[in-house]
Amino acid sequence: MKGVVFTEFLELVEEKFGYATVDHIIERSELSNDGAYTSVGTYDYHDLIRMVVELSQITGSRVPDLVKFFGHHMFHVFTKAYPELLRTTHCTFEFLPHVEKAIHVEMRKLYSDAELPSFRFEYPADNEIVMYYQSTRPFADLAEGLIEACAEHFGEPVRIQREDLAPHDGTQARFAITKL
Amino acid sequence: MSNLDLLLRRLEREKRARKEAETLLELKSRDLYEVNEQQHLLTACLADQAHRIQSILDTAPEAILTLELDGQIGSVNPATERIFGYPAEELTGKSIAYLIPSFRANALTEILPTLIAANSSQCHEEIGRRSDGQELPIELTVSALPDDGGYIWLVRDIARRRQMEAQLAHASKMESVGALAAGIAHEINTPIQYVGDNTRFLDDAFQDLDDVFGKIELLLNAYQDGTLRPELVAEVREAAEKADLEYLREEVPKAIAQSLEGAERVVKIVRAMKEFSHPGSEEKTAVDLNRAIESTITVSRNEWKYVSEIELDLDPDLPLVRCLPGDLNQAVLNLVINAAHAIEKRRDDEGKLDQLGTIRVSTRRVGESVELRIADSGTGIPEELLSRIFDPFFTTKPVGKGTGQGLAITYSVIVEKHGGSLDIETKVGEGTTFVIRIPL
Repeated sequence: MKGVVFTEFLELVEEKFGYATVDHIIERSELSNDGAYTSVGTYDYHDLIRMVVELSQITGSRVPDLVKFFGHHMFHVFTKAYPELLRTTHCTFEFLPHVEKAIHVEMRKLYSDAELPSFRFEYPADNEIVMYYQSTRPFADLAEGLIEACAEHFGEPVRIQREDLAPHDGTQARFAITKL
Repeated sequence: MSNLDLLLRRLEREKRARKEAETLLELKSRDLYEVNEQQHLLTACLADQAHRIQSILDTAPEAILTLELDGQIGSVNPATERIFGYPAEELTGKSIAYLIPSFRANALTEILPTLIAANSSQCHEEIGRRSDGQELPIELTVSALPDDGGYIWLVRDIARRRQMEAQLAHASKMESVGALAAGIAHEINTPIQYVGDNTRFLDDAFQDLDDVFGKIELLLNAYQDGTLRPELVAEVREAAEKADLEYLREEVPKAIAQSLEGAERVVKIVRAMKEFSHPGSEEKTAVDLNRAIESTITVSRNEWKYVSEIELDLDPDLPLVRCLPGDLNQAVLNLVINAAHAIEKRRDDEGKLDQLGTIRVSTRRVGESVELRIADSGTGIPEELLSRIFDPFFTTKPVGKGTGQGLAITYSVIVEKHGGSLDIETKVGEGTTFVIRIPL
């Protein structure tokens, strides 16, 4: 997993819980590189999971909620990094397909070895879009947080119905997003 | 743990992260350098290949053109300029019909699939037009570029090849005339022989008659002078008996008739030879096909008379046929000689050396065509050879008896030069019929 995810996660923890908490979860997680992450590096995603689990124990929040929250954060990271995305898209239904078309394309330019999740879309009705998430890593919660943050950004009330798909380990999910 | 300790630990992590980032940056820089180097090598390689391809295009003797999907010329090589006489800049953007007038835009879309499909097996022949208006025969090969990128046209100037083919056909005709010469000499020799014998007989007869005439003259003079004696009359009678007047009265007219008939045969052979070997006209002319066939049969008599009889069934109402007479004579001769050879081979194979075969030549009108059939009672042609018999230089005859040019030339004459058809009906052991049809 790209280092930018790790550095953004630790920045988020520091911002919300202070650098003592960051130091604590790094110490407790027995990380492969002792928490010295750089955004341009590539690291084992299990390190991230271990840190989230430790954070969960400290804060008492559920792991899925923490990951979803991190998804909200990543949405804002993306929109800062790729501001043209917000200029060319005007709603959730436009923005989400552009993640695959724009952000992933840019990521591959910077990190040719990046293993990115893939998104596939269906359009069953004018007010409904279905997004299929597929990844080698179990971060469907992160994708859900991203969708929620996107809808919030555009001020669109939506209903998100998530269905975890086989093998039901968070690597594959179906999100039916309906505008309310 | 104090805040200072926490900050120091964080500083330590940041320092290590920075070093890792610097190391990664160096690795990326190296990767970039190597990719750049490979890119340079690739660019040089591509430039070299482009140079080679350009050299091939520049030195190729064939015109090579790229065409857009709509038939507009995209690029041309120097050979195109040389063959068609236009500068490249004048051709770019023009329709291919500019060089090959028969390919008007609509016709091009119709014929392109055929041209491309034929690419691997055969070339398409067309007539091109030079900048000075002169027409030139060309041969085309068309390939489609990938991804609807247009077409590559390879155009060969075949004017010289056509000239060589014409020379070869003429040489082949001369070869036939040469080969026929010995037979014709023999054909002429026979009547000349008995014309000579008869003339010698007439000469002897005249000597005998001259003696009789001399005695008769003496008799007449004596009668006028009044000195006629019985002995003189007896001398005239003796000379007449010696000359055998009764025999001469019977044989001299026969000798004269035979001599005239021999002379007529010679005249006929010479006329046939003259008609057969008349220099080929460039233009088609109206020809009496039956007469042309008879001439060809006459000049080739020595080729078939020892192995076959000829049956002629020529339609007396056959209309005149517009054709190239020299070429057509050549085609008929080739088929007649082939028929004789097939009969000779069957006779040899079956050991029936004293048996004559049959060559039947017939003509008739069929719709808007004339049909000429040349049927023989020879060996027939095995099915596996049928697809090859019109190939140039293909022959089953022994060395010295066939060059493999006969049927190839015949096919070219009938199909290509006259727009006719040439079909074969054959059965091994029974014979072969060549069926020629020429449009009127």
